[in-house]
Amino acid sequence: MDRQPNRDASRGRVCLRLFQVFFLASSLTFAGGLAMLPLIRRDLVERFRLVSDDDMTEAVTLSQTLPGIIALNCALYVGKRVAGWPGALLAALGTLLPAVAAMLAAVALVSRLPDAPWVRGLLQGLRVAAAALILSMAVQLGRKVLVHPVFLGVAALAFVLVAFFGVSVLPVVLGSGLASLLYFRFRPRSFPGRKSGEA
Amino acid sequence: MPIPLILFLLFFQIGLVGFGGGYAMIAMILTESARAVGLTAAEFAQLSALDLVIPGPIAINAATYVGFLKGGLPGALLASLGVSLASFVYVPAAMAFLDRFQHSRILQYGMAGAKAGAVGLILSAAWLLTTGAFLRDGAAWASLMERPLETVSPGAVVLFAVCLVSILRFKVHPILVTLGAGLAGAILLR
Repeated sequence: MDRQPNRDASRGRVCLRLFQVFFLASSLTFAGGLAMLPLIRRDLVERFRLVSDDDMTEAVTLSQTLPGIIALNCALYVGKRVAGWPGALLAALGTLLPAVAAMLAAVALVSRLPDAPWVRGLLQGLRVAAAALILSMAVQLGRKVLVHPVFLGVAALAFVLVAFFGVSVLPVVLGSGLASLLYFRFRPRSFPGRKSGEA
Repeated sequence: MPIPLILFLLFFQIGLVGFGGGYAMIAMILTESARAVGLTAAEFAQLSALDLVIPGPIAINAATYVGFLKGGLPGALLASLGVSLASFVYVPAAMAFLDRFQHSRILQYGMAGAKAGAVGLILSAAWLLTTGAFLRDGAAWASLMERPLETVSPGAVVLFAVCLVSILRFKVHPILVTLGAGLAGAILLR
């Protein structure tokens, strides 16, 4: 089966293609970047054959391991691999443009909502849904990540520091990383293995 | 410092420590924006609803929204740029040292801990939101003991439980839960 990337196309055309693929994927996915990845894989690997299957798998893994926006990480990795920095920039631009433009349009519309009782009720309903959504996100991620007492302690401390003492996220996340690093540096055998580091 | 610049730095920081995907970053955006630029729970609720129906990565949507609300168009553009910038540092660095990156035990220890910390951050955002969502308009927690029903809205508490169970137990899609809760609120919580 010939699934090798197409290396003949000129760099300019490849860059435009990258822009097109990421622009489309970003315009068509609603609940976040993770959902974009299957669309991107289909277009890049199967439709245009710009990227090999292995490279795409690598891109998907890496973009989820690194901090930051998953779809953007993927755009930069694939773009740079296929067409260097111009490719990376155009793929990133394709990811960013629809998201920024659509949100700007939405904010302009929403700011014109009237101040009626049903609007206040609607907003309170949304607020309740948002709270439930974020809490269930914490539960779901927690089940996957908190597989060692050290992680549980770190998460609990982070919660208390941010919720009750107003500490900002940068020191909290860096401190969490450092605490775990130091602990497992001296007790490497108790580290729960690669699985908890992924996701 | 001009507000767009504050927004840029704030969102750059959030991008740098954005472990755990879009929803984790949304949680960080809430707690940090509440502190630094005064984002309210109501504004955030609107954001999380919009985020589900507006296309694109969640964190970019969120940066655009908070940026526009607090700093107009320059704020929106600078916040979006700020939250994206970290990827331009991490991805090329990881690509250059791919082998060492994947096999470094030290990095794995550190990243696993950072992810655990991110769970705590998401939990604190949930705390902030829940306590805000249960209060009636203009009420404060101080009056809970004397006038419980005028302080907390029982409808909101019930709706919260229903949302939580439908997501965690019945795996209902977040978009459906959000739309349903908005509708229920417009009819029942007025």
